[in-house]
Parts: sequence; structure tokens; C-alpha cells
Amino acid sequence: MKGLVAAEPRLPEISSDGRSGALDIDLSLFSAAVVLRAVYKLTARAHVFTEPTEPSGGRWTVTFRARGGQDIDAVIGDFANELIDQRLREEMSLEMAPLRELVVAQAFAEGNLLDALRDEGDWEEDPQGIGRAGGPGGR
Amino acid sequence: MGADRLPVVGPRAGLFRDRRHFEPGAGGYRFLPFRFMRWSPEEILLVNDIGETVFLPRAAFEAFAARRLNRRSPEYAELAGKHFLHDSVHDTPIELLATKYRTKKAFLRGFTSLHLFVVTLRCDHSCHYCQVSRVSENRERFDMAEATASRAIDLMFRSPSPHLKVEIQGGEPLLAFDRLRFIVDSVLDRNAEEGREVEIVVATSLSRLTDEMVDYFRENRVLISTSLDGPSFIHDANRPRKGRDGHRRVTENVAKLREALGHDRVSAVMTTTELTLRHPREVVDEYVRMGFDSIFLRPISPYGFAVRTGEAARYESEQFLVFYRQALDRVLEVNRQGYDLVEVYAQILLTRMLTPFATGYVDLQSPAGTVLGAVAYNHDGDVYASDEARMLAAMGDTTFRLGNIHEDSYEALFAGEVARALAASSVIEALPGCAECAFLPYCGTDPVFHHRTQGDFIGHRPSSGFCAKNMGIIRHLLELLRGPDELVRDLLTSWGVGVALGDVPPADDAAPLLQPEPFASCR
Repeated sequence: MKGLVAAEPRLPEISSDGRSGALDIDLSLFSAAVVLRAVYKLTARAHVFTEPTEPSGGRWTVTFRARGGQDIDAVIGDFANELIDQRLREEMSLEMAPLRELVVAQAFAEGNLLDALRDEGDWEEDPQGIGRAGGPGGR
Repeated sequence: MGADRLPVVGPRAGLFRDRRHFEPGAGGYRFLPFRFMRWSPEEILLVNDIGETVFLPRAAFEAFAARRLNRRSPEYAELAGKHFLHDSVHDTPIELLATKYRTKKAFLRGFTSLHLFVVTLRCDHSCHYCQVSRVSENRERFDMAEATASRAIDLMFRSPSPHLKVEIQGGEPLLAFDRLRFIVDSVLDRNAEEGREVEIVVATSLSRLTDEMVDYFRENRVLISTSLDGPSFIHDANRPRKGRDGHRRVTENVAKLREALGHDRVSAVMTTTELTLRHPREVVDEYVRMGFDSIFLRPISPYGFAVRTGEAARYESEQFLVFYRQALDRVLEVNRQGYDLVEVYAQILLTRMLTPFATGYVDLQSPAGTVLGAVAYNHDGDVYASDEARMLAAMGDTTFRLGNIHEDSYEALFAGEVARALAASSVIEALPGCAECAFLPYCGTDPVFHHRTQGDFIGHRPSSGFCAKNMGIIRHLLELLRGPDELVRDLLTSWGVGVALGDVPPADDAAPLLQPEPFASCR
């Protein structure tokens, strides 16, 4: 197919005892906040160690050591999927956060933050112009 | 953001706006606030900030997230109708969301509405899971003094809430009946001036009930909440007393109280122990045998004797969830057979899932109901952020002690350092693990529980028993609501929205079951 090139899969390295594994993460793909939120969700199933892969800090190595009887393959696989979900959440929240704040502010405000005149305006002054056009009933 | 004024055309010029004003904008759609989780490999669950749900196939979710969702698709219509996307010039979706959001947070308006009075620590039971660290019957120095009760009542009426619930507890409060009566009389006398809606509940094992007490409860319209852990082999094993006749006494006295007070004035709760886990069906059947119309399937709390006897650690959340699902199945089965029985915790969650209304259940609020929803006045005058906080203090941990009735002002108790720390650490919209959870609108947090089990007010969500329990039950309820059994779907819906089973509309009825009043009239 045009534009697509086959590649060798790059899978995480699993330790010989089958309890540890590591992933190398490019921070240009996933922000530090995204990585940490994804890591957090796995911290009941594994001990997690994060460190810069290189001095410039553009890549992190995240190492998992399974807790209890956890399957390290499953832990790392779930982490990889969680990275994608957290990135999507981060992107969506850029748009949703202001609206979420507006909804909460509007819910608790004493006045109407969206259109103050609609509730507080003087009906005789008719700031919305509701009664201005001609027609039946003086409207 | 405001509405554009388009040219007005047609014979009714000046009366209505042109239809173009109401069409979706040409600029695509915007996301309205929601959260999502991967429900299964094929489906994504979306939940918006007021608790509406949409399940999308993976491909549809990916299209929606990439803003490529076909506006003529049924998924688009559902997302628009339930306020997950916004594609017009109107503010209406924002206003509706704000109205419903305010309704969901209505519990904040009245501040503390539940006031627990611990009239005594004396008790004639030795329940294995006792969270009270009760003392033996003859230690009257563990009764609440009259002056302490009076002061607690004064503090209670400082609350701005128009609805006040007085819950009288122990130990066994009937062992301090004179004090109990003093509190009830004083509250009712004071309320004759205050004019609040007051509800009085006595939480008792009923082992010491006398005819005099029955008459008093009837005259003063007191509600009774007792404990019934199941049939006698479970109840008496969990809740031993001298004579091993606790179950018999409960059975006899529930009947006596129902006759005197009315059937719906007596309720019961159970506590799940390791023994209970093995008998979900028998527990439910006992509630049916005794004619109760509700059952509250509660796990053990990790306080008091429950910790000392090891009961609290004896089962993990997953074991409780297995028990819960089995017991709920039995509840649904008895309903199918024609007996009306509601599972209370499911009902609370379903109300949050299916309506915009707050439930007042202090353990499922954000911020948490500690102080904001409930306080406990201990027999010695110490005031605690919750009943569980009081139990923790009996174990030597006074982290959640707000102060003392006789030493501290209302402001110092209800708005002091502890109260503020609890509020600040329990807004789940800002907590790690909770903030992005799709179940957030249905859930809450318990800083006392997390402090006790994890050493931290906020807690560690991935290993939290509170989180595991709630996520497990919410998921199970969603599965049932989407399941093939129409009766189960209708039954759960009736529990959640508070209508009779026969009044639940068919699934294809487009009319919503409940809508709050339009924005302006909510003010």
C-alpha cells in the first residue's frame, strides 16, 4: 500500500525471571503528564521506575516489576494502551476544560454568566429586542 | 458565546427566528465535557459530567474523537441529544448542563443535614465487627450527659439545612432511654420554633425494647433502624449476646414495632462478614421472610472491633463483589416472583446514574460528606467528621476529631482546620485516578477510609478497596441495564428514578423520565 512501510515490531524487553520489563517512551509523542497518569493506573500491579533515557530528557525509560502474581506482559501491554487513552484525554481536555469550567461556574453563579441581560435585564428596556418587531400582540 | 440574530423572514416576521438559526453549524462539532473508558475490546463507554452514558463501537468513537462522525448517524444523534457534542450557535446545551450539574450538587446547599448522637457506648451485644468499641452494660459513665446533649442540639440547629436528620446511636441507645427521650423531646420542642423538616431515627438492636418505648416512638413518629444480618445461624454468630437470642428478639420486636408504628417505619441493615459471604441467598431470603421491602448489602468497615477481630482484613473487595452480585441476583429473582424488594446501595447508585438528582448519601459525594453532610456527637462531647471518624478515635486515632461541644464554637468545629482539610482532599474532580474516571459522576470518596487503610486522606486509587467496590458495582449495574432481561432493566430503572415498575416507559419511548425545571425557574 502506498505510504506504508512494513517495520519490525519493537517489543519491550522482559527480564529472564519474567517479572520485569521496560519500555522506552518518546516524550514528543506522549507528554510527561500523560506518561505519569498512565503509570499511576498500573501501580497496584507493578512497581514502576521512571528515568530519562538520555541526558536531553527527550525519552524516558519506564521499567515495570510485577507485584504478586501479575503477568508482566499484560501489565506492560495495558500500560501501552493506557498511554494512548491518556494522550487522547489530554487532547480532548484542551477543548473541554474551558467548557467544563463554564458549566461549573454557571451552575454555582448567582447570575447568568452566558447572557446576564437575559435574566437581569429590565423588561421595559427590552435589551433582547423581543418586542421590537411588528406583528400580532405588539410583538 | 451568544446567539446570533439571523434575518427574520416569512409571514410571522418579528415573532420567530428563521429556521437557519436552528440548524447545526457549518463548522462541525465541539466536545462537551465527558470522560471515557474502554468498556470492552469492541466498545467505549462515554459518561458526561452529569452522568449521561453513551456506548460507542470502537470505530464510531475513533471517528467522534477525530471529529469525523457522520452527522446523520444514530451515534451522532445520541451524542447530541445527551449533550456530548455541541454543534449549534446556542448556549442551550451549556445551560442545560449547568442546571443539571447544580442539581447534582444540591447537597451542598444545606450544609450538614445528618447529625448523629451517640447517647451511650453501653451495649449488650459483642458483635465481631463492632465498629464502636462498645463497653459493657453497667458503665454508665459512657452515657451522654444531658448538658452535652443540649449543646449538641444547639449546634445542630445552627446548620442552615431546611432538612435535619437526627440519628440516635450507641452502643445500644435503648440502654440510655432517658437520654434518648431527652434528645427527641428537646429536638421536637426546639423545632416547633425552627420549623425545619426533622426526621428522627434510632439505630438499635431492639434487644431492650419495652412497651413504654414502643408507645414513645409511636407518639413521636420516630423511625427505627435495626440490624439483621440474616437467618439466626448467621445473625447470632455475627452478633452474639448473652442467651444467644438476638435473632429471636429482632424478629419479635420488628413485628411489635410494625404493628405500633406502621410497616414502613422500621428498616434493617446488614453487615457482611466472612460467614455471610458464603450465604448470599439465605440473607436475602431472610429479609423476604421478615417482610422487609429493602435490604442494604454493606461490607465491613475497617474500624473498631472489626479490626481487632481480624474481620476487616478477612475478605478482599473482589470477594465482597462476588457476594454482592449473587445477593443482588437473588433480590432480582424475588422481585420476579412478585415480591417488591429494593437493594439500597444499588438504588442510590442508580439514582445517580439515571437522574440528575443528588442522593444525600454521604459516602458518595464530591466533596465528601464528612462534615459537609454529617457529623457525629460522641457521648463525651467530642465532635467527629463522621461516624467512622468516631470509630477511628476509639482505636486511638483522633485525626478527624473536630473539637469538643463544650470548648469550641460552631465555626471552629464546622469550618476549622480538619473540616477544611477534608473538603480540600475529597473533590474527586481533582484527585489522581478519579479525575479522568468515567464513573466519576456516580461516585465519591471517603477520606476517613483511605486514611485508615492507606495512611492518606486522598488514597491510592489503583489499590483502594473503596474504589474497587464502587467500580465493580457500577459496572455490574451498567451491564444489567444493558442486558437482555427487560424485567431487570425496568426494575433497576424503577429503583433509580423512583417510579413504580409498571410506570417505567417502554425503552423506545423518546420522552425522558425526569428532567429538571428549565434554567430560569431553578433560581
